[in-house]
Amino acid sequence: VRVPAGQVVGQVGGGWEAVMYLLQFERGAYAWLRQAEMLTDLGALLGRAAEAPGGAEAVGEAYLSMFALRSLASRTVNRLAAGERLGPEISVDKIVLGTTEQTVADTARQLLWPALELEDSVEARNWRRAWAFSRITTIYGGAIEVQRDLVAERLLGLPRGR
Amino acid sequence: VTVEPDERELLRSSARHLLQTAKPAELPGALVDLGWFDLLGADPAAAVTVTAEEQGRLRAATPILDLVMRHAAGVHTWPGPALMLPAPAQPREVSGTETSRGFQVRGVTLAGREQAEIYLLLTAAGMVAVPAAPLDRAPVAGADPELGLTVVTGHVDRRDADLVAPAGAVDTAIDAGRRWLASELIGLAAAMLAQAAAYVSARHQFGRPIASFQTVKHRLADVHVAVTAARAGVATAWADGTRLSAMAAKCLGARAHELASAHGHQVHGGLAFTLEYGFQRWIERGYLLDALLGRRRQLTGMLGEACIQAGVFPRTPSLANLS
Repeated sequence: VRVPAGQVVGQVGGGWEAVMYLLQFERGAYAWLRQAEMLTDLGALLGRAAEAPGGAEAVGEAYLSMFALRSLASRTVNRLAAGERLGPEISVDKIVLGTTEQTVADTARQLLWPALELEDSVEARNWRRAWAFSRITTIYGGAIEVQRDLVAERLLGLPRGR
Repeated sequence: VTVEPDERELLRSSARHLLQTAKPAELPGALVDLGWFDLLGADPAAAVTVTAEEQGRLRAATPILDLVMRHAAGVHTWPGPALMLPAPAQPREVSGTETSRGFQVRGVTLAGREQAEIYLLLTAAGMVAVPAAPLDRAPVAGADPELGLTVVTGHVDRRDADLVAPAGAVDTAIDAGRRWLASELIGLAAAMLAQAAAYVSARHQFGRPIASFQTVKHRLADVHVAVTAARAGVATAWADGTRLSAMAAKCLGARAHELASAHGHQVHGGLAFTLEYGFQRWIERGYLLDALLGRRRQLTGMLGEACIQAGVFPRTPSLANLS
């Protein structure tokens, strides 16, 4: 697409840097939003967790993940609001967000067992969709492997490789 | 009053210096002389987080946890009676259980408190001072003799026992103790991560450092993520001061340590198995600390039970209380 030179925003060729800068705001705010939704959605199953085998341990593990995510996201949102640039540190939040999404969906599957496998209730269908969707959270927006590379190379100072 | 970042670094270096030079028994006194109680009053989060992480990093064995827990319970004295932690693997976090005649004692004390003449028991009724004379003491060797724990057992007559703080103070002390242990476990994990990162950067195979292989660097990246998440959890526990957050923080610290142990061991190849290299001493220290004030697996189940009973998950931290 041809665009008149007068319509250029910022520097030509500066898009990558702009995206990288803006991504931290998206990651921070989105993680805060998602942990709130997960606390609500999994919280709706707590009434049935007492009867589920291993329910207390599963709920405890899921809560630990959500507690860690909420603690990280709160810190990140506050740092961004204070004008800090997080750079590669935001990859940590992204990894914790993806893994927590999957832990929460796995916990719902366990607590509702065998509803996700056998039932066609609205709740079972919703959680089936949520579980399937949770599998993509370590892929989209920068796969978890890319995030781990960034953490290892940019935060731990390990050498680049293949 | 809060400690600013540059003061935090000063605190870190002075804590490090003390931990490297002072004898365990003298360390709390040295901290008190430096104004530790003032600092605990002004910014306990910074004082405890920084000192406990340094203690973990150095694998130092000190009774500072005793000082932190008694301060949280409102007992602002040093020197004084030795706080007795509950012996690990009990159903309840108490070191004294009331009987018809007095208190049954089953607890552990920290390095440097071997010669105590009076103990502070954590009991359901509150913090109770009892004489050491009628009790049996035995050093704990086990996997980590360098931690210097002493097991104390026996029975104390009611006439010799003094209630020095109410039941609520015991809970407050245990919460403070769990936050300390969370940070000490994080310090261990951070030190293990640094050792592992240095090793894989120096060790070459197939013509390049093994740190350049994704399978190696991703393991260490996951340890860094667990350490960072645990630090954020500790900050929350300090900000909201709740029992559940203190438990959660300790679980996250233990989880970071366990991951640092597993991945650290693996990426060291056979080297970490040797006694001479020493990596496993950081592993064993962490498992011992995990056993104090409720191990991770037990606390995780208790967290789950608490959420199930409440019918909702705690919403903590709020966006406002961490800044």
